[in-house]
Amino acid sequence: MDINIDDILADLDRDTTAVGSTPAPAGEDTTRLDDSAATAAADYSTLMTHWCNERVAPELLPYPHALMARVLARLAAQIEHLETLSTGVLEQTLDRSAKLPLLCMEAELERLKFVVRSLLRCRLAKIDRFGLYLRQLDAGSPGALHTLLSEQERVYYERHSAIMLKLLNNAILRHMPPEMQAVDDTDGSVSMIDEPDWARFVFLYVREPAPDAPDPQLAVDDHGQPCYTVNIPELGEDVDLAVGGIYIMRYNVIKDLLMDGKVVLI
Amino acid sequence: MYGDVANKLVLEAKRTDQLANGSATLQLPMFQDEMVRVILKEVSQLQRNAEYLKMQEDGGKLSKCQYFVTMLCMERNKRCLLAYQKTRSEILDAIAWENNGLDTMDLLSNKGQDSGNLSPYEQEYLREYSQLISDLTAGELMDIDLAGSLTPPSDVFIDVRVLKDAGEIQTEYGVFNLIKDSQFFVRQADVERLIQQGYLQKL
Repeated sequence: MDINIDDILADLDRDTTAVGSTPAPAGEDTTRLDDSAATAAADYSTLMTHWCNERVAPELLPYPHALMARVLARLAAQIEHLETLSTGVLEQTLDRSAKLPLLCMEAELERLKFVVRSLLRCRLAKIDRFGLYLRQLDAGSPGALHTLLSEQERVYYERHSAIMLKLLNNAILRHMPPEMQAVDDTDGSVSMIDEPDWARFVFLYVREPAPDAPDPQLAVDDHGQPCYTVNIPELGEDVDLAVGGIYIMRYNVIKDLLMDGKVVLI
Repeated sequence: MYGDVANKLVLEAKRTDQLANGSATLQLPMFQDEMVRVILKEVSQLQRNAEYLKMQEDGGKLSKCQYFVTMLCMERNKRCLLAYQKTRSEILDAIAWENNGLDTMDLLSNKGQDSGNLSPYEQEYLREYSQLISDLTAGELMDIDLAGSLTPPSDVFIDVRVLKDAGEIQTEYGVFNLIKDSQFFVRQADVERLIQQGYLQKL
């Protein structure tokens, strides 16, 4: 007779690690600024997923306001911390061994800064591209831009479209007949509003569902594996996306799953 | 036929695009002032035609068709003109991102050979866009340095060689004496801007 005692052992583990981990941060880990070590790491991995998604997705994804605020605050704090540390090192000793943690922290900062910079630049490029579409979106449902864009991005968007319009107006549109002066004309033979290519193919990876939250969308396929089922409208076909699998799909098919964080783009 | 000159302009735009993507340093060929003016003249001619056609309302099917074709020609011309201008402005954006936001913001005035190729409206646009970028980087995102390099950092320290003499240059992190063909072993973050400006070469 086998008795499964995994849960009891897990309980025990939790207790001992809690005791063991309390003195550790104070002793070795002076680089950490806040005690929420887990959330910093989790935030970083969310940032990475967000970055990958943004770079691959054809449309502009909603701006992660809370996440970015946390990351930026931590970045500023860490830079300050690093500065005080390095001045302290200069005053004291200059032996090589003391410099290693400083180097590591600096490299880490550079990497994080690169990710954030790349993410923001990617978003700015998309804002440039879909400027007119965003305007149409804003007119359709006011306030949509507030969730989609950050404060600075909105300022950038407004100003850039203003100066772009000024350029086009001065150079060309002023000399056109009045009924042809619009830059967002949709009645002509070609629509002038560039929409995201919703049907673009993307690579995606189906993530493991969270262990403690049962998901109503999760089904079981023929082989007994958990999967999500999506429907491709133009073919009228159902497809099972097995957990842990990699697929190539049209973006509009998996948009909802992406927004829920159940799949990530790669 | 109407639209032939516009077609040439689009070919020019295509060439501009290839030129910008092909070479390492962004450059913009001359603004085709002459061609644009010819097309705009054609448009105003077409507009006069359209007004004339509108005047004689009685023509029925025939004049309606004529009016429609005239409108289509104008639309075609407009599309080509806008496509040309947009292509150029996108390259201007790329130039602004690459060069500005760096320490010396007045770089724009130094590279005069390019500003001769721009139309006055484009010069104004470039100036305003550079201002926009520097405002953006000066705001809350100061720590990020948005205009910085988009290649991921791999090493903390790198070897650099000085390509052209620049005398003593004060960076935010200290003073370098940049003598031609000398070599330094420095922190990458310090010299990134000097590499972008073309003073240093990464080894």
